[in-house]
Amino acid sequence: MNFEFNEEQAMLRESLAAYLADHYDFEARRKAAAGLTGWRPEIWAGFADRLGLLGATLPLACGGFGGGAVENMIVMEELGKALSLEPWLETIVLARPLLEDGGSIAERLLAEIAAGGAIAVPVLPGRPGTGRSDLQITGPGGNETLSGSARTVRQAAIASHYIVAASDDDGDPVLLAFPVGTVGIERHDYRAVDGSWLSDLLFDRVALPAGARVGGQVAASARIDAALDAGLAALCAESLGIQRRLLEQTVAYAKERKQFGRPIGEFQALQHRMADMFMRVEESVSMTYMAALRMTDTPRARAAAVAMAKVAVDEAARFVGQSAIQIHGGMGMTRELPVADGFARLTVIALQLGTTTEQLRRYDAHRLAA
Amino acid sequence: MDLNFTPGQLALRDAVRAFVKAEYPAALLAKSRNGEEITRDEHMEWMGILARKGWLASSWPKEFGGTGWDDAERYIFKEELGRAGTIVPFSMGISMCGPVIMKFGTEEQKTRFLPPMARAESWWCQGYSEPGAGSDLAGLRTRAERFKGDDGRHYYRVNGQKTWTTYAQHADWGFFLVRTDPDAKPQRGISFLLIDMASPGITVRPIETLGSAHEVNEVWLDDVIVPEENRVHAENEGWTCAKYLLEHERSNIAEVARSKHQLAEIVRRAATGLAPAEAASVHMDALRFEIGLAALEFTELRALSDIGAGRDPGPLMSMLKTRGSELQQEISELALQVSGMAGCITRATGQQSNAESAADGHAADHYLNMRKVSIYGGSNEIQRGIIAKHALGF
Repeated sequence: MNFEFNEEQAMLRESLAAYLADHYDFEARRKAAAGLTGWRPEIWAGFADRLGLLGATLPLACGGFGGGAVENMIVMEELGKALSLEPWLETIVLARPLLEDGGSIAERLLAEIAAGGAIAVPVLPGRPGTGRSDLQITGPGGNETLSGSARTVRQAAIASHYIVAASDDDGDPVLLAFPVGTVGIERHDYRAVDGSWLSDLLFDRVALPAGARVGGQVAASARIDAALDAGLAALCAESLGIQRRLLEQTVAYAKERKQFGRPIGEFQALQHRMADMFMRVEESVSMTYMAALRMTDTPRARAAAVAMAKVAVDEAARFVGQSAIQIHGGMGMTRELPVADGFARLTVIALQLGTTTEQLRRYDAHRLAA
Repeated sequence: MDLNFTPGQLALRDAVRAFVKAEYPAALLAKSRNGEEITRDEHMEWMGILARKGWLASSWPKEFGGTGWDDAERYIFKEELGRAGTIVPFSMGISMCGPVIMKFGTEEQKTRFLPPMARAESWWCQGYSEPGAGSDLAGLRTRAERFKGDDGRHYYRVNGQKTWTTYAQHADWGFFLVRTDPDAKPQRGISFLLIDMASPGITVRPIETLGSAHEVNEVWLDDVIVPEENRVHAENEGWTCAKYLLEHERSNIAEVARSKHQLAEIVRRAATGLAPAEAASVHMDALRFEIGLAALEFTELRALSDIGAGRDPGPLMSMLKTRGSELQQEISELALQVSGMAGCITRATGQQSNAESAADGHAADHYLNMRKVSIYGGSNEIQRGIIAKHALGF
C-alpha cells in the first residue's frame, strides 16, 4: 500500500505545471475567459507539440502512452490550479472510454485527438435508463437519422466532433461519433459563470455518416458509465487543484492584510477557519486518490467510489471556496483576484455530470458494492 | 406574552398586501424571478410608485414626508414587500443619509435635501469604505482640507478614494466620511460631507464582482470642492453621525419574508423540474431552512418587542444580521441543486438558454453574488465579536 507517484508521474506533473506557469497565468486566464470560446488553441497545440501531453492517457494503439486514472488525476489537478479552460475533461477523459476499441472510425478519431487535430465533445444528457434524454436514432441501418436535443453541453462550441449518446428504436443506448459540420445541427452558445461556454444542441433528422456508430465488444451503456465515472474522478482532481490554490492564497492574504493595526491572520477565529480549510483540502486529497485508484474496480464498486468522492470533494470545495471569499472580505468578491474565479469554477464543478443530490442517489444505489 | 398583532397592524398589513398586488410592475416580477439585473429607471419607477403613496420614507417621521410608522409597522411593511418578492426599494438617502440630516442637520439642509429623497427624486450613494479601511472604517484616509475661497466663503478640498460604493454609477449625491483632522485620534478627526456626484474631480469606476451584477464601484476624488454648508454636524463629528446610523438602522436586516419567498420558489421548481426522489431530497432540505427562518422571524419579533418597550435589543441585532445572511446564502445554494448546469449560464450578457432556463433564474450568479451578505453591513466576524463583547462580556 502506498500513495507515492513514480518518476514518470512526477515528471508529467512538473512539465505541465511549468508550462502553465509560463503560458497560463491569471492574466492569460482572464483574457481567455473574456474571449469568445474560452479555450486558447495555441495552448492546446502546446499540449500536443511541446509537451506531448495529449497522448498521456490515451491508448498505445492510438498513439498514446497508455496512462490511466492516476495520470488524468495529475493533469486535471494542475489544470485546476491554473483555472484552465482547455477541454481535457471532454476530449481526453470522457472520450477515451466512449471510443476505445470501438471500430476503425472511433479508433482513428482517438488517434487524431492524441495528435491534437480533433476535439471530440461527448453529448451525454444523463445516465442510461434515467429517461432524461430525447435523443433518438431511427431508420434503417446505414440510413439512420438522429433527432432530439441536449442542453448545456460544455465545450461544444469548440468541438470538431460530437460523441452522442442516443436511444435506438428498441430503446437501447447507442453511441454515435461524427463531425460537427454534419447537416441538421443547430447550436446556441451561452457563457457560464466560470468563463466556459455551454451549448444547447438541436439535432433535426441528422443523416449520420457511415461508420458513425461506435461498435466493438463493449456495450454503449457500459461505455457511458465508464466515461461518466472517469469524468467524476477527474473533476475531483480539478476541484482539488483549485482548493489547494485557494487555501494558499487565503493564508497569504491573511498574513498581509492589516485591519485594526495588525494582520487579520493573527485573529484566532480566522486561523481556526483556515485550519478547517486545511482539513477539507486534505480530505479532498484522500477522496481524489481513492476515486482514481478505484477506477479499475468492478463497475459497481467504481460507481460507488466516484460518486462518494464527488460528494465529499464538492462539500469540501464548498467550505474552502466560501471561506476563501469570506476571509478575503470585499476583495474576495472582485474579479481582480483569482479567488473569485476559483470559487466560481468550484461551484460549476459541483454541478457538472450531475448535482450533489444525483450523486448521493447514485452512491446509495451502489454503496453495498463499494 | 402575546403573539398577535393589533387590529391596526393587521389592517396595515392587508393594505400593503393589496397595494403591492395592484401596483407592483409585472415586468419587475418577471425580471427578479429570472435573476436579471434591474436598471436605474426600473428602480426609480418602483420607488416613485411608493413615494406617491407616501410609503417610500417608511422610516421617517411625518414632518419630513415620512410615514411616521413605529418599528412594528415598518417591519410589517417590509415583510409584505419581501413576501411578494418585490425588489428592495434601495435608497440610502432614505435609510441612512436622511436620518443623519434629520438628527444633526441645519434647517437649510433639511429643507434642501430631505424632500427630494422622500419623493424618489435623488439617488444617494454612501462613501465610507476605502481600500485600507473596511472593517476598520475609522482608519479611513480620504482627506478634506478646509479653505477660504475668493468669495470669502469656506470650502473643503477633498482627495482620496472610496471603494465598494453601492450604485455610485446611478447616484446624484453621496454622503462621505472624510478626514478633516489627521492629527486627532482616528474617530475624532472625521467629518460627514454631502457631495454632488456631478462635481468636477469625481470619477466612478465599476468593480467587476462575483455574480455579474454591476453593484459596487470605486470612487476617486481629485481636488473635489465641497461648500462648507454641505457638511452635516460640526467638523470632526462625522463619526458621531456614523455611530448614530449604526444604532438607528434596525429595520429588517434579517430579510425573513424575502427568504421565505425564494424558498417557496425553489420548492415549486423542484417539484415540477426534478425526478421525484431528487425533488423529495430538496424538499427535506427546504423544510430545515423553513424552520431556521421561523426561528429567525420570532427572534426578530422579540427584538421589535424590546424596541417597542424602549429597551435596546443589543446583541440580538447582530444575531439577526448573522443568521439572516447565513440563511439567505444557504437558500441560494439550494437553488443550484434544482437548476443544475442550466443555472450556470451567466446573466452578464442577458442570455437565456430557452424558456425553461428563464426559470433557472441564473441561480449560480445569484449564489455567487450572495457571498457578499456575510461580508457587508458589518461582517459576520465583526457581528460575532460584538456578541462576544456585549452578550458574553469578553
